[in-house]
Amino acid sequence: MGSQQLLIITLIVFVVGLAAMTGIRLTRSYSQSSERDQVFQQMSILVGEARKHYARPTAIGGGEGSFVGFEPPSRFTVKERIRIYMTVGDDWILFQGFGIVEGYDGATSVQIVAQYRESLKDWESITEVN
Amino acid sequence: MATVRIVDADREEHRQKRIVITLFSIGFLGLSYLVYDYTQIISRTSIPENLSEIDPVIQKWQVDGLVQSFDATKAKLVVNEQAWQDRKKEEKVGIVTQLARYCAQKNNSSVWTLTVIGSRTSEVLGEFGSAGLSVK
Repeated sequence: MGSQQLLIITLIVFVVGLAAMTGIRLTRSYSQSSERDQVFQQMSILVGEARKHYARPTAIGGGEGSFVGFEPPSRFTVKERIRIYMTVGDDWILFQGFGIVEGYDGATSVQIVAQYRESLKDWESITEVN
Repeated sequence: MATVRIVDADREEHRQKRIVITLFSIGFLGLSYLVYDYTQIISRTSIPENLSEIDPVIQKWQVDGLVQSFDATKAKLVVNEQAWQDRKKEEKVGIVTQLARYCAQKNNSSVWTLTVIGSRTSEVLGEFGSAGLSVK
């Protein structure tokens, strides 16, 4: 077999190996993205519960114009693949959500930090930390 | 193995050279992408979810020159301005949020607070307070 043909075969094997590694990276990237979406979806559910607390009168355990005192049941903050920590202010809530898939840094889990503000009736910021 | 009758040796040699150059180019591009991807991963600041693992991370940042001092009782983080500005916004948000939660736990408080101050100018570079999260 000529040396050039051997070189072609070697290069083909190398390129196929690279393609496989790139495919693995892309699959991992997709699963990270999917998990971040799930974390954010759970945060959106929590915001819905928080807004109910915000609107409810204090006489029946609500915040009556404030998120302070909002404490969701653990079934909303701890799931099989998701953990969400939160802290509240008068008209804002900040969520810090984690998944189980490794994030951008290749070492720790995916993480989103998102802040909701009632005066905007929308998310003030959503940051894909990892 | 099938046999091929080569009529023009020069033409066949040029064809094989083009194949080699094409494969080299694809290989080089693929390797470049993987190296770039790897450098993006290792250059990113990691901060663990588990609050009990924060102390060694703070010590590492002090060695790396990002953090000058951290007082969990006062919820105050003093950083090197240049090293802080070199970090991506996502990393800074992650650091402020996680350390604010860490300080709340250390102080047995439900309120998350943290102030990030530049070591040289004493400028507030990040804050978690009564208005929520703010990062420059």
